[in-house]
Amino acid sequence: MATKGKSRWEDDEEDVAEETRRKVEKESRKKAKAEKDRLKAEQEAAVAAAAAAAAEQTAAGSDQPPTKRRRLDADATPPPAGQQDSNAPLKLLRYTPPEIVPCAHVDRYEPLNRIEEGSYGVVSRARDRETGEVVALKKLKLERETDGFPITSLREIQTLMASKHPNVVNIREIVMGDTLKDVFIVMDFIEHDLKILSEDMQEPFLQSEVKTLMLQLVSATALMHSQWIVHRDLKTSNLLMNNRGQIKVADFGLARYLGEPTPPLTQLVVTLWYRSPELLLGGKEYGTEVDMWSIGCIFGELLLKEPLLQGKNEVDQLSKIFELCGIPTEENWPGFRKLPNAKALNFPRNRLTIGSHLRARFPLLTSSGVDLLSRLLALDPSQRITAEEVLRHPYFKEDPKPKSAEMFPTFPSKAGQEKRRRHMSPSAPVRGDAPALQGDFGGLFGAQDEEEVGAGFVLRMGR
Amino acid sequence: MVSLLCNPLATVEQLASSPSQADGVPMDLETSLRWAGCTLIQSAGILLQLPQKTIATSAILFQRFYLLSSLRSFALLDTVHASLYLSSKLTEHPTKPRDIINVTSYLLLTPSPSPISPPPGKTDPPSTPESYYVPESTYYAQRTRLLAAETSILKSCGFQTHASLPYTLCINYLQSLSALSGDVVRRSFGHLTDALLSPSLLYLTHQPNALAVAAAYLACRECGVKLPGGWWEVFDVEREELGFLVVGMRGVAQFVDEQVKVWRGRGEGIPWGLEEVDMCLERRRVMDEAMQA
Ligand SMILES: Nc1ncnc2c1ncn2[C@@H]1O[C@H](COP(=O)(O)OP(=O)(O)O)[C@@H](O)[C@H]1O
Ligand SMILES: [Mg+2]
Repeated sequence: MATKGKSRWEDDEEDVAEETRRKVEKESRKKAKAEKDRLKAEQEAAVAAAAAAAAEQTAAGSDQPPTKRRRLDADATPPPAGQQDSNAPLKLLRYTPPEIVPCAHVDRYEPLNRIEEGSYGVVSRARDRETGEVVALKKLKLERETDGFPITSLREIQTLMASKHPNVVNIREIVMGDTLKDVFIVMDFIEHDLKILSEDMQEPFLQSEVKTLMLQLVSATALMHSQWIVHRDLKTSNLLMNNRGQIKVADFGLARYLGEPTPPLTQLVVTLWYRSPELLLGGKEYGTEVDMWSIGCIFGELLLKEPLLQGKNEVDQLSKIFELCGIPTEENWPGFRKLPNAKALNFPRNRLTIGSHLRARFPLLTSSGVDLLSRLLALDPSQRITAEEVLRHPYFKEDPKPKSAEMFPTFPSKAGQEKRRRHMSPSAPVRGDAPALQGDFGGLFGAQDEEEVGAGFVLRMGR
Repeated sequence: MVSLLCNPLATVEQLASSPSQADGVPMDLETSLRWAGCTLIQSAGILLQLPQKTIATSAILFQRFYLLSSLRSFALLDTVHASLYLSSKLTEHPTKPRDIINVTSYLLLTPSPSPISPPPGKTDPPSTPESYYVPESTYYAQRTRLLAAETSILKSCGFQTHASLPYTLCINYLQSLSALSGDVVRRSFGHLTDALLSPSLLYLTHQPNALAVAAAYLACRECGVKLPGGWWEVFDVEREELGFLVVGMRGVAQFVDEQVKVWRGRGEGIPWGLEEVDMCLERRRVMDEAMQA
């Protein structure tokens, strides 16, 4: 316990004393919980096995009658000694469904301290009065809502509940306060956020560490995408990290399901520095590729220890992108001219603007690393690499190998600092602004000068 | 992936202890009012041109809600409105409270093919726009109650709004059994939609895979499509459960007929509001007393 780095916004001695006092209590609860978890894992394994067996059977075709499945095997194996109920293997096949339980009152958590006030909600640290576990409470901002429970908050809760993964922050429940406007998401408390963590580090992450973090982030993203969930706000401050080298994707405040047919989507998503070119150019039909672009930006940021593309506004962001990745052309991005905001831009063609400059920006990265980065930062979303493909990319196979999460350093706390610092970077677009933008090109660029100067590279507004 | 195809279900205790019945609503009346609510949801959903996904989600939210809340505390009509409103957001087909309220008013006041509407010929002369027009004050009152009911629904189910539906699964199963035909699919979907009205709350007691298997089983039987023996086991459904569901689904048509008879002949109509439920209970009490005397 003592060797474990403590998160810097955890409270000091008092907390520690409390912690020790509870320790004994906790130990016995832990045992009970371990037993419960074991049973649950067993059940899940049985369900998975049954599903696999069923899938096999289905694949086997339908002309021959399906033979009895799995249960036979289960029957064939004698139940382990001490198991009273001979029907037990049968029962294990049944997955216990979640129950329909009303919201508990927020009182069951004892408030500790605020973590940070974000753009939509306030996140605080709290303790479960019953189990003593420390949790994070995110209060949803509902005061101004006149159309009932906001669809954005419904999406946040729904998508987070559906994204159960070791690298997605675990949602425990929703609790309510005294009025109908007090709604809180209860999550596991995670010690750090990657933004502040990397700002405070002396050196960037090691290659081996970057690989581990990337694999974790991408496997969580692959799960979301397989369920048609787009996160739409991946960035380092929304990636939490615990002291066991594990990343947890958080903040589903902009996430949503991609329906079929794709409903009209707002372009006003994703924090500027992580926003993909198709969004910046006003594309209304976009998909999971926007997350992959953000992951490319995060990859670069982990390597550089600073955000990769720090545009001052939308036009500047575009010019920074084109400066790094080259300008779009009909060859590298067929049809990009049709995007609403592309018509108004002139793309200067010269040696400096053609082709990618990634290699120069990352001189120490191996060529397969550069390959991965350039596929993530492909201008044309249809050519961008998918999450599943990233997981198979050779970059992760070559030396140095991904560092095992347990070998990650733990990060010490800074005494006295209770709140996470405000991030010195742009925040996610605020909902409600979107309608002004839609179809209104002037809304996007109107406030800017005719010429927007991005570091030594000029984008001219067409007339 | 298990969680994706898995819905929260009612526990045995929840099914045995209805808050409405604890509140003095007899079981047959509760069953009847649940039917009325789901039927109004279905009819309104069709008029609002909502996809079946939205309508079915709405009916499931409605049923989950009265598992934990009493019909004497939360008015039937408000819950119907709120379930539709909430499911329209959850399934990304947002619908305005005004449209929902207009449509249910129309359905409850104007003769229509829906069993929930007044029978044709009863409100002669033919209805005029004025007869189902919702005055502004009524609209605002209903809207306020709709929004309150929405929060109550979310609160009572702990925001467990996830509802996996069996329709797509059913198609997949039929396909893997090489039994996919227009007729079989139509009938299967019919059974799945009927099952939303079942007095046994089939969607609160069975997972989508079991519902899909039962509907496919019935449809194939009706169309004379032969399937290999024991095929349901492949989809993790046991004979006993299948048998129960088949009886449940088959029974819906007769149940609906009975409900239509119960309400159509009666002047006082379905008690959509809280006071009407009280009046309905009072009438029953008086009648029971008269019977005993
Ligand atoms: N589960 C958690 N454990 C610890 N800190 C958290 C947790 N969830 C959020 N935070 C902190 O709160 C900040 C804001 O939370 P977030 O969900 O991103 O809200 P917002 O939508 O306001 O950005 C995060 O950047 C992170 O620092
Ligand atoms: Mg955030």
